[in-house]
Parts: sequence; structure tokens; C-alpha cells
Amino acid sequence: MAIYNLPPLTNEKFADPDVTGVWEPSGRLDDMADSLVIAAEEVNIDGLKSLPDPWARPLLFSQALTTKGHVAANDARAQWRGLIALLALRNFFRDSYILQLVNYDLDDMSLGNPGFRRMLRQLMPHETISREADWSKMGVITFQATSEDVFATGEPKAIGMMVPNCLVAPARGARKIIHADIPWMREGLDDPIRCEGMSGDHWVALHNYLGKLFLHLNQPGLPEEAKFIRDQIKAFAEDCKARMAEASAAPYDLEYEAVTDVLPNSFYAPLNNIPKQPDISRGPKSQALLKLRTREDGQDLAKDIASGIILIDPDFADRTLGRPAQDIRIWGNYTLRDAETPNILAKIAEDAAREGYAVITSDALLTHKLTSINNDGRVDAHMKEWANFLLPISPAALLLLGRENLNNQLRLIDKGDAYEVQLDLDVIPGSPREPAMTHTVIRRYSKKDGMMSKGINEDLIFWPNISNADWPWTFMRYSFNPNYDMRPRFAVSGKSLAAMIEVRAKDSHSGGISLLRDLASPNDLVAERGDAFFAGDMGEIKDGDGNLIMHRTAFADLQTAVGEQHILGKGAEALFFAATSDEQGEQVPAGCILLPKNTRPTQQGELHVAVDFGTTNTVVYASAGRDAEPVNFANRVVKPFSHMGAENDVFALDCVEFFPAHEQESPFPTVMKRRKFDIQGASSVQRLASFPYHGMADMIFFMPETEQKLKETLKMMEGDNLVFQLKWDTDPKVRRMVKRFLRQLILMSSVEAMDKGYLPENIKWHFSYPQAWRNTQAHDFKSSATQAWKEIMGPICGPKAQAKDYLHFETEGAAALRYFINGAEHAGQAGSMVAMFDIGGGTTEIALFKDEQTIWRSSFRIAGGHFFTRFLANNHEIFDEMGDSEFGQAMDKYGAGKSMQDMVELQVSQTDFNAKFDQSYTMFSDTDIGKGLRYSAATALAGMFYYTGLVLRKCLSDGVISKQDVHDITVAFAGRGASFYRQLGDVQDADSYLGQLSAIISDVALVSSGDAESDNGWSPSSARLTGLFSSQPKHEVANGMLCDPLDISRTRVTNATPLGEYVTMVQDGTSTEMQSTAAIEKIDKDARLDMLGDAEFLNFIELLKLRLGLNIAVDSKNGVAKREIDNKARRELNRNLSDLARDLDDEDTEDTQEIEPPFISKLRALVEILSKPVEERKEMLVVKHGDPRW
Amino acid sequence: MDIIIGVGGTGAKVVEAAVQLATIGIGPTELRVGFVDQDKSNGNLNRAQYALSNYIEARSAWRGPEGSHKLHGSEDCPILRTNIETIDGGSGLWVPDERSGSTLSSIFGAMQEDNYLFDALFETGKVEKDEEQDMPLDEGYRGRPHLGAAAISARANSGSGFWDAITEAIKSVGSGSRVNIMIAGSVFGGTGAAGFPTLARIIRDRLREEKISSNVHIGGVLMLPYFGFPDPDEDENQNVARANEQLMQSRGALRHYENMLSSQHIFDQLYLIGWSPFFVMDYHQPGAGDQRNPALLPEMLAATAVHKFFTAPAAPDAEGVQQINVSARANERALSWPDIPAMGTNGSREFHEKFGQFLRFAAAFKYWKAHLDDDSSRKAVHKQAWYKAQGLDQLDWQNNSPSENITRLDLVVDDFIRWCAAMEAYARKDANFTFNLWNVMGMVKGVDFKRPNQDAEVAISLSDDDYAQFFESVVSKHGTSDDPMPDSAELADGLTEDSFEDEHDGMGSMIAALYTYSSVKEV
Repeated sequence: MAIYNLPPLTNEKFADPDVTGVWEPSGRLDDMADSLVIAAEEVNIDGLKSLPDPWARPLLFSQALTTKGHVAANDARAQWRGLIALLALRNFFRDSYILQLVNYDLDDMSLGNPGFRRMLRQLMPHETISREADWSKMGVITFQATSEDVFATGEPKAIGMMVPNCLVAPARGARKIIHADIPWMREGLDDPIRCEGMSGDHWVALHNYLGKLFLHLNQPGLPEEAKFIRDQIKAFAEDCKARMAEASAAPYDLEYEAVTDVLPNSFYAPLNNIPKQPDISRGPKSQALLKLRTREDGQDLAKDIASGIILIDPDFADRTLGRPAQDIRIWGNYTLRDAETPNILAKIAEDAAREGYAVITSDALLTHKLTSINNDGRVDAHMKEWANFLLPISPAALLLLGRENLNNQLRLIDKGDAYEVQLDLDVIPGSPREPAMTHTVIRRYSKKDGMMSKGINEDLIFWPNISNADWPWTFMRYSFNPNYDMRPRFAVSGKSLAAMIEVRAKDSHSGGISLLRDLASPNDLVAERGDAFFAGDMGEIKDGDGNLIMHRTAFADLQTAVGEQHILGKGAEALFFAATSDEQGEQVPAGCILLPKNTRPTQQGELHVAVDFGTTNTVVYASAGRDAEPVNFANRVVKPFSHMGAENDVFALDCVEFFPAHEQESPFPTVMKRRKFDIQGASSVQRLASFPYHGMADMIFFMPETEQKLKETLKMMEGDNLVFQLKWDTDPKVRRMVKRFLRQLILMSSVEAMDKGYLPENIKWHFSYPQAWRNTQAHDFKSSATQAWKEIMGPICGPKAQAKDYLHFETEGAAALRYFINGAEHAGQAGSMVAMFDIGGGTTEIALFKDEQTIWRSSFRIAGGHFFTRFLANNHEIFDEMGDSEFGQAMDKYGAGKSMQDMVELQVSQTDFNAKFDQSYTMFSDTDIGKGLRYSAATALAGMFYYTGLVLRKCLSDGVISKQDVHDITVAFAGRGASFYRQLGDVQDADSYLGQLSAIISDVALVSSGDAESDNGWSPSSARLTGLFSSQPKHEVANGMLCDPLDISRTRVTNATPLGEYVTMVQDGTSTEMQSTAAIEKIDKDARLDMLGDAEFLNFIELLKLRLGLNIAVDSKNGVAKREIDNKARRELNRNLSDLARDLDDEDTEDTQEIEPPFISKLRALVEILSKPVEERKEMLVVKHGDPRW
Repeated sequence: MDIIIGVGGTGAKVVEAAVQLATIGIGPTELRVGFVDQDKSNGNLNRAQYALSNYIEARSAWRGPEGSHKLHGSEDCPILRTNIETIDGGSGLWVPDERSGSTLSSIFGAMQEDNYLFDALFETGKVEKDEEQDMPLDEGYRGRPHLGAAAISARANSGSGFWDAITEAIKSVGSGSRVNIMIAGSVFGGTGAAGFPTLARIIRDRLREEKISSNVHIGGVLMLPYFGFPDPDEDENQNVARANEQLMQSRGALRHYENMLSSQHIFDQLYLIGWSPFFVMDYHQPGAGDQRNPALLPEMLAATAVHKFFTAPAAPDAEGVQQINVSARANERALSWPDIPAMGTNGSREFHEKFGQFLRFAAAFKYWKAHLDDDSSRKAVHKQAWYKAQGLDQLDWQNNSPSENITRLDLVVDDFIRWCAAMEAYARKDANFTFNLWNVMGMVKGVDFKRPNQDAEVAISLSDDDYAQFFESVVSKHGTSDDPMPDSAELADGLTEDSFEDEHDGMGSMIAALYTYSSVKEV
């Protein structure tokens, strides 16, 4: 068979020879080429070097692209497509590369290398797919890798050419140009279709661009050869379309822009008309955008501080979206695949931060290690599976999931040798039409080396256990042994995190994003390191409105104990811990425990809260328009981790230091406890009081409910840590303490209100004060209360809220009177004429009421503290009589001077004291001590009755009341100080001790009217007095403030306060005599006492003898007692007058008592003597007791 | 004027083949020969130059103006008929850049603004296989024809005797003469592949510059793969791979030619020659002097193409038409004289006659020459009839000895025998191939396939028996039915009976007689 004298050929295209032995015309050379028998299927086009032409490179590409079965077709197509993709996607990868076009006009010999140009021109090809373009004018495309650092930007390299035969041809070394950020150049220029890492947007843009190229080559009149290139473009476009489908990318309207390069020929124009990056508003910025938590107003929690959080998790691709990583747009044109490269990830994060987006990796949401809790017990707020584990999340996770969702969306699965933690996160759908997605971040913790076992410090509490969403006062207190325990980092809520980030983002997004990312550090305490808040003994972060986000105070910093108190202005959902890493030996994030949910639904409505800030006890009442009820402070201490030692004494005492850890009923002692600090270098402690927050310097002393409470209390007293007598102390330090006392009351009362469903901003506050206060005292008190309210309620009610709209003040007497007149308890029991005696610890409020009108009211500083508590303090054997020998012994050991009375006051304040006293009183009432107590108490009450009689006498003379009124007086007793008088019988029982006592009122009132027959000046009255005791002594004022909406407090008919004793005043050398019924208000502030009479006081002593058989010989013992009584009364009057002159500028608008009646001063002095230790008293005067004369 | 330019090693071998045909009397009257090779130490080039030199020397001795022993005319004794000269009067070799260590970069000099374009077309790299711009060109273009094309084109424009001669030849058409320029090269490899089309394009470019549109014909002999050789360290499979690589390169080049020739008029006639199955050689030595490959049959076919181009130019109405020619043989596994592509009508027979006659002449020359080498030899035969009949006794062996002429002729005869021996040996190496052209192996000392760069050693003389045998068998008949060729006795009779003393001078008469009675046909 004939055969060509040629290399081996197939005969498919090149027919067998017809003749032999001659030269005959050949068939087409390309057919011959195709017929060559070649074993190799495919080769790399760069290995083909057969073209004897300096233009071999573009010619070879044209050949490979247009020849079916070309051995280098695949490789040529790959590079050619890669080059087209570079041109098309310039805008998408502008951060990675720049293309520039260098034009060459080979006819121009004035530039470049003439020899080179001449050679190229001489051997210039003629192949073209354009009628316009020839090879003399072509372009070289250069590629330059870009970088933010201009010095790190690569040199431009020739990567391709614009040539007439195939539009573009890769340059000789194109394959060697590698760029890790460009998916189809990671191993040199390649076909994008066969590379991973391109996004759906990339495919859409490339497809669209190719479409335009196709149309360009589909114009009529183009050479036939254009068809082959056109077909290649079409095939490329079809492949892109398939990738679009894989990426679930839909076509969208692309904007194009023309690159400004000058082109070698207009034929190439479509190559330089390139798609713009898609409008970011077309969809979410990222397809891995996590749904942030939702605020109550429906907005994203972090809307103001982060436009979004982008999650980088390789599993996101297949597991959640079912797409390859390169088809998931992470940011701009960057894909999830891009983000696998650390430097690109950093760039993505940086770019995103500029627009307010945070980029975090899945690692950043979960801690490096899983921490199990090795204490006995459990975390109460955790699901069962997590009960003994810290949740291995970073704080940033709280921006995504709240407490409830964490419990549902964070799973712990035991996989045998490891625990698997799964965290479900909501992903924002790409469009509203797409369903919501959930992505699960999964991390496995090897039980061998992926875990830590640590103990939670047991001294860890929060307060309160309820609140509403906007409650700004959440407290955390903890202490731990740094040698053993994990260390609490901070307690946060999503809201507080957002606020902190917002503060950081105030000047730029990046600051906030930076913090957010710090909070997401899985294995380092980045958030704390270098942050001023965590440095030193205290720190504070406030939001843009000045509201507190977080306050931190260290109260102990010892080798074996570190303690801090945090105030969490935006609530707390979780407490994050750090633990010492076994491997690194450094503190690393250990996860968090969830705190119990403490929000309560609120209901509309106003709540009135009344505070009776008493001398020894304070009472708080609340009313929502119905019956007022005492506010009992529940134990609102939260211990998130239950353990066996939770109830031990140490814990209880520790809590006392903070907030009461057991229920506290009203009333409770008006006592403050100073806070102790164990800070090395206490300079910062001095600043504590300057912070307007509770718990910094001191707090209300709630007696601990422990077996050792007395002992512990006495220890505190011994250390001068308890402060009594707040109400009357004028020391500025104590006045500030009063403010803090009231502040704590407001704080705690608000929490109780919230527990009942009331919003704190809907609370109206009522405060009482004794009329016995001078104007300045009342003013100070009101200022303190106002300031306290502002400090607590300011963040709640807002800066525009006016205190006057929320705060109401009235005198204790007025309030107590309302209690009797309008209170539900005594409704209808009182007659038309009432004389009320609210006998407290420090003052007695006296009010006269007739026919729904207050006709007179005042208060005096003579009360239970004077005649009862002081007596018990001075004669503490009485506690032995009461069977409370422990207290008696304690008094023996610790009691001394004033502190002894404070101790007694605490004891008396105990809820069970009254019952104990009542039970035992009869047992010792006839002993010297028992008698002494009765004399003291009876004298005090008799004195006040006597003075009240003087007032009534004046009212009678003024015609305000009638004699009949005096005959029909209801004597109402209120206050803890009145309790004792229950032991003395009934008012209406004329034969009883109290009946006799009460008659003194009418005895005195009626004496000048002629109704009383004098026996030694006196005669018994025949009035039918009735008595009325409050069932809840001490509650009357607080209750009374809420009893009736009618404001009767200032409806006084008689303003006059009788002197009670004859005086001669001197002013400017002129003496003025004033009768005992003269009003003290008539005394000029510039006048001074000249002479103090004693007629009324002696009449009073006489009446005691007549009515009670009590003979107080004030002149006995050489008149020691009488001198002391007189002197005290004189000093008091003069001091009052001096203070009045000094406080001239004060507006006299307060319902106060500027000058104490001299009679009252004498009475108090007498009672004080009677309250002394019995033996001591006997040294000053003689008291005898016989039968009453009447 | 006919010009042949061998480009690269394979091109040189085609030129060598053309020279061998001229030795036996097949060729134009005048021929200018040139070589283009960047690697001037190329073994193939050197051997072609050697053959050319021997030819020129022999022809000068026998047909030049000097001396007393001449051959005249070309009818009865056409050997050495063609007046071959180098194109430039020197070596005929153009080395595009003779500077040592020359590179493409150094050829062009600083690129200035053309740097990116240079990079786009020619690779630069740190490793040799990637390097193109700065690759030393001392050993050629190393399989990178695009690089060679650029270098050749650049240097062609820089002036040289070679190109001046071509330009002069082109210009000579103005006086009405015709110029045929045949370029021979390979489609594979470096220099030849690069220079083959490039030279043609440059010449065509110059024609345009000179505004010459007729009477200059450019022909091309393009050698396609026809042999294979392994690297010394490579196994047989690698050999196949290398052959495939050549084929792939060829495929690309052929497509390129198709594209190029379809859009540009470059060649008037183009001859493509290859072989299947490949001749297999046992080694490969790239570049330098050891690239000296044995002659192979396709080169002889190429020489026939050259001759055809020179002797059968395109008709005037075919100006501008590019004719591409191929040839075929009747049997893949055999080659006989009728398979040799005709140079004209009945060409293969004519070719057979001249080829066969010269081979028989060569055998006779080797035999008879031995009788004339020295006085003692001559003394032994000086009384024989043939000696007297050829007038040898009339020669002045002392003062006008024909020895120099005989030596010159002996050299070209040996060259030819070696050339034939190589073609024959490699054809017969394939046991499945039937070589029906000649059999010169008895006249050479074998061919060492292990050392193919070594030429076969031709016997100095032949014994009576060998001569008788060789003379009758050295060449095959054209056709099996052809009459038997005259034997050596007939030649001896002829020498005794016939003399060409009137037509040739001195020893020329004896040589012409030997040649005449070596005819494959009855004289």
C-alpha cells in the first residue's frame, strides 16, 4: 500500500496517496498536521516551541484555541480564559492587582528598540479576526500585584497581549505569575472554571462580560476566523453559567465602566469595558452575616455599634449553605475561600471594620478549652447538660444570643473521648425571599487535653434577683483566692456589651469593632489587657449619655483574697471567667456561667412609697391606691452557683456587707455600716464616696440572721463600723450618710416595686420628717432625699425628670395623724377630737385634730429613746429579767456609754422584742428596775400630756375648741415608744395607770376655766377620755403618708406652740415677760433668755403626785437634779435662738420647730435623769411612789 | 541562477544530498550554495561543507580551466557537471551572530519601552529551561524556533556577505535572468525550523523592497520528522516520547505554515518530506560538532525535490501560486527505484540510471584506480589493451600526473559511497524494511550504529572478485522485468574497445570510459 514519504499519518483527513514516485500537490497542511500520529493526548502549551516566528506566543494560542484536537488546547484555553477573567474582574480584585495596557505602534521607530520593532514588523503575522486591527498596533497587558504597602507592591509584569488573532493572548511567562489572592492565579494563570474560590458575583460578572465579548465578535462582516474565538467565548460563558448555578447566583444588573487606557485599536474596546462591583445594597454585605440579638424595640442589639457581625467558619460552606467556600461572599468580593488565607482575612476584617462590620472566626465564639466545674453543686441557670460546665463561649457570643437562646442553642454532646459543643447561630438570609438559616459552629474538646477542671469561687453574688429590662442597678460582688479559684472577669449582658462597643465606636467604627474582636478572643484576655477599666482599684465606663455601663471597685487585694464589687448599669446575663491554663500558666478565657433570668413583666400604674426615716428605726410603706402595706425587703441576693456552703455564716455576713441576704421587714434600724477595704495602698478608697453609687462607702446595716448575729454585730460596733443617730447628727459626713441611707432605700424599694410589677419611674416617693426639726435640718433632709432619688432614678427617669414631681415630704405628725383619722385600721374609732401621740425613738409627734381639721401639731425631742431605750441601756439587768442573758452579758462586755444605747436600740428593733418584753414585764414590773422604767416612761408621757393640756387650754381660750371637746378626747398612741404604755392599762379606765396619766391632759386644759378645783392648785377633771393604740406601732407615719389623698398636713388652725413655762426675754436691753401659754414663735430671734420660770414644771410634778402617786423630789439631794434640769432648758433655749439667728437666710417654709419649748427641755432633762442607772439616779434625786391622791 | 540554502543541521544535510546528486550529474548548471547555522560547529553542517568542498575541488580538478585531465560536456559523462560555488565566495555559511556568548538580548540591545513586549514574547527565567532572552546562542537555538526567527531576522538586517550576495542575486533579475532560491530546513529543532520560513520571508520582504515581483522563485524543502534518537540516558520509551515531541512540534509548525501561507505569499514551491516509520538512531547529541547524523533516505528525496525545483520552475502563469508538494512510495516497508519522486517525466528511471551508473562507476573506479596508483601498479598493466586503449600510456605520469585529479575524484566518490552506505545501512537496519535501491555495504567497512556520528570507512580498493560482484549488484534494477545490467567484463571490453579521447582530456578519457561502461543499460 502506497504511503507518503512523510511522518506517520492517519488517513482521516489526509487521504492516502494516489500515485507514487512523483512530487504531487499536497493536501492542506493543517490537515496533515491533524493527521500526524501523535501518542500524547495533551501537553502544556508552554512546552510547545515549534512555531518559527517571534510572534509564536499569540500565534500558538490562536492555533490551540481554533484547532480541534490541538494537543495544547486545554492548557491554552485555561490561560486564555484566565487572562480574560483578569481583564473582566479587575474591579472585583482591585485590592489584589492592577492591569495596565502598554501600547505598541511598531511603525513608530522613535520609541523602544528599533531593531526589535523592525524584526517584529518584518515577520508580522497576517492572521486576524478583525477588519480593523492589525499587528502593527497591539498592546501588552501588564499585571501588578497590589498591596496596601506601596513598597510591597510588585513590579508590573507582562501577562498578556491584545492581539488581532484571538483578542488576547497570555504572555510567555504568564503561567509563572502567581498570586495567592486570585483564585485562578494561585498556581499561575489558569482557567477560573477549574479553580475553586470564586464567588457567585464573580461568575455573574464574568458571564456578563463574556456575553458582551461574544456580541462584539458576532458582528457581520468579521472574518470567518472570528467564529472560532467567538465559540471559545461562548463556551467559556456557558461554563460560567454552570458555575453560577452551582453558586446559586442569579444574574443582576451590572454596571460597567470603561477603563481609561488608550487602546491599540477600537476592536479591543469591549475588553476594557468592565463590570463594576455590584452595589452592596443589592443584598447583605456578606452572606455570612449573623443575626444580632433583637432589642425590645425590634432593632438589632448592636445596630448602633456594629452594622453586622460576619462569621468566618469553613463549615459554613457545605454544612449551612451547601455551596463551596468560593461561592460564599464574605465581604465585597472576598469569599470564604479567600478568608482561609490569614493575610486576606486580616484585610477583610480591616475593610469591614471601616464600614462598621465585625469579622470574627468561629474559633472566636468558643473558648480554647472546655471548663468543667469541680465544686459540688450546679449552675442554676444552666440546662442540665451544662450544670457542671462553664459555657465555652466568648463574650461576643452574647451579641448574637441571649441567655434563653444560649440554653437552647448551645449543646454539649458526649462523644466518648471528647465533648462536642454545637452552637446554633441565626444567619441573615440573602434576601427576604430566602428562608432563615441557622449555622452550627462545632468544636470538639478532647477529654484528654481539651479541657480544664476548675472551681468557681463560692463568694459570688449578684443583686437584685429581679428587674426590668432597663434597670440600671445590678450589683455583683465576688471574692476569690487567686491561688485556687477561677477568676471572674466581668459580668455582662448583650446590652452592656453593645454599650461598651458603642462608646469605643464613638469616634470611629474601628474602635468599637476592635473591642468586639477583643471580646471574641478565645485564648487570651485581650479585652482586659491594657484597658483602663480593669486597671487599679476601680474603673468606670459610661455610655454616651453619661449613664453607667459598668463600675468596678476592688475592696480586697490580698495575697489570698481578691474581692471586687461591680455595678452593672446595663444588666448582666452571664459572668465570664478566666482560669490559669495548665499549659501556658497564664490566665485564659474559661467561658461563662449564665445568670438567672430576673426580669419581671410590668403593669401600668403608679405606686406610692413612703419612707419614715426614724431616729432608731425606719419604715417603708407602699400603696398603689388601695391599702398601704409595709415594704418588706426580700432576699434578692442571687447566687448563680449553688453549692453546699451557700448558707454558711460567712456568706450571710458577706452579703450583709452588700445587700441583705435574708428578708428584712419594716421597720429596721436606722443604722449605717461603714465598708471595710483591704486594698494595699488605700488612696483610691478615699475617692469611693465621690461615686454616686450604692455600696461604695457604707450601707444600711441589716442585722445578720445568724446564730452569732449579736456577737458579730457587737464586733462591728467595737470596730466603730456602725453609725447610729443618723437622724439628728448634724455632722456633714453623717448627713451624707443619710443620703446614702435613703438612696439604698430607694434602690431596694424600687426593686420591690418591680417585683410587684411596677416600673420604678412610676413610683412617687413620700418622706416624713419630724416637726421637731429645725428648718435647716428639714432642708438638709429634703436635699438628701432629692439627691438620693436623682442618683438612683436619674438614669431611669431621664435627665428631664424633676424631683419635685416624684418626691413629697410631710411631717411625721401629720402623717401619723392621718393614719388615725383616715387609716382603714381606725376608721370610725376616733372621736371628733383627737390627741395623737406618735412616740418614736427620738421624737414624739403630737397632733390635735377636730372635725377633720388639724388644729394644732408639733413634735418634740422626747421619745422612746429617752425614757425607754436609754433606761434599758443604763439598766441592762432588765434583759436578764427578760431572759435574754446573752445580751445582758454582751452589754457587760462590750457596752459602754453611747454604744450601749445603740446596742439596746438594735435589740429593741428586733421583731420579737415586743413579744418578749410583754411576756416578761409583769415579772419584773415591781422590781426597782421595773419601777424605774415605769417612772421614767410615765414621767415622759405625763409631761407631754401636761404640755398638750397647755395647748388645749390656749385653744379653749382662743375659742378653737370647746370644753366639750376637751371632755371627749380620743388619745391615740402611735410609735414604738408608745408600745410600753400598753402595759399601763387603758385610757378610758380612770383607775388604771394610763387612765390617770391621760387625765392630766384635761386636768391642765381645764384648770383655768374654773372646772378644776384646786387641791394645791389642782383639781381632777372629769373628762371621758378614750384611748386608741396603733396595732402596728411605728408603722403609723409611713402608713399615714399613704392613707388619704387629702392633704391635711398643713391645715392648721393654731400655729402657736406654747412655751410651757414662764420666761423673761431680753432684747436690746429690754426685758419682755412671756407667759407659759405664750407662743414660742413670738420670741424674737435676737432675744436672749433672762429668766426661766418653773411654775408649770412644778405644777406638773404636783400633778404626777396627784394622779399617779409618783413623787419626784426634784429639789432633793441639794437640788442637783433641778439645777441640771434648769440649766439644760436654758442652754437649749439660747442655742435655739442662736441657731435661728444664724439661719436667718433660710426660708421658713418648712413645717419645723425652730425653738423647743422650755417645758419640753425640762421634761427631757428630767426623763434623762430618771433613765439613768437606778443607783445613779438615786444620787441625784429621790423618787417615791405612793397611792394616787385622786 | 539557482541558489540553495541549507538552514540548520538538517538543511545542511539536504544541501549535502544536493551536492551528492550533483556529483552523479543531477543538478543545475550553476548552483550557489549557502548555509545558515548559528552553531557553526554543527557536525551535519561540517560534513555538508566537507562534501561541498570536495565537490568544488574535484570539479575544479576535472572541469576547471586549469590542468590536463579534463572532463568535458555533460551528456555522456555528467558527473561533477554542476558548477557549484558558495554563495558568498567564502564558506557560504552565515552565522547570524558569531559573537561568543551572544544572546537574544545582546542581539537587540536595550529594549527601552519595548521591554514588556519583549517579555511577552520571549521568556526569561532563572533556570535554563525557562530562559530565552539570555540563553547563549553558541550552540544554536536549542529547539526554540521562535527565538531563532527573531535572531535571524534581526541579524539579517545588519549586513553580511551572505545577504549581500542574495540581494545581488535578487537584483540580477533586473537583467532578465531568473533566480531560483531553494531553502532547506526542518520543521523540528531549532535553527532550521527557525530559519526556514524566516529566510524565505526576509527574502520575500526584500523582493518587496526591491519591487521585484517575478523571475525570483523561492522554494522550500521542509523536512518533517523522519528519524528518532534517544538521549544516552533514556530508555526506549523515552525515545518514543521524544519522537512524539517532534511530531507535536511538527503539528504546530504545519498549522502555522498553513495559516501563514494562506495569508502570505512566501514560497512558490514547497516540498515536504518525512518518513514513516522513523529511522531509528541510537544516540542524540544536541548541538556542537557531534551533531553529525548519518545520511538518511529522506534527504536524498529532498535532493530530488531541489533538483525538481531548479529544473522545473513554475510556469509564468503560476507566479504567486504556492505549490506544496509531497511524494509517496508504493510500500511502507519497501523502497524501490520507481518510488523515487520523479524529477520530470519518467524521472525515476532517469534518476535510477544516473544513480546506478555512478554507483557502478564508483565500484569500477575503486577497482581500476588501484591499477594506476603508482609506477609498479601501472607497470603491471601498462601493456594491457585497455591501458593503451585509454591512452594511459601516453600520459606523462611524472610531470603531468593525473594523481591529483584521481585523488579529488576518489574523495567525492568516497563521499558518495559513504552517503549511500549510511542511507542503506539505516534503511536495512529495520529488518522489516526492504531496501531495493543499492547495496554498497561491501565497499565500506560497515556502519557502526553505536557511533552514527562516525562515517563509514570506504574500501581503498576492491579485489577482482569483489569488484565483479559489486559492479553487478551494487545497484538494483529499476524494475524487476528490466534487462540485466552489463557486467564488469563488458566494462572491461568497453575500455579495451572504446575511448573518449576526443571528448575529454588526459585521464578524463579513462574516467569517462569507466563511467560510460558503468551504465545500467547496455551501451
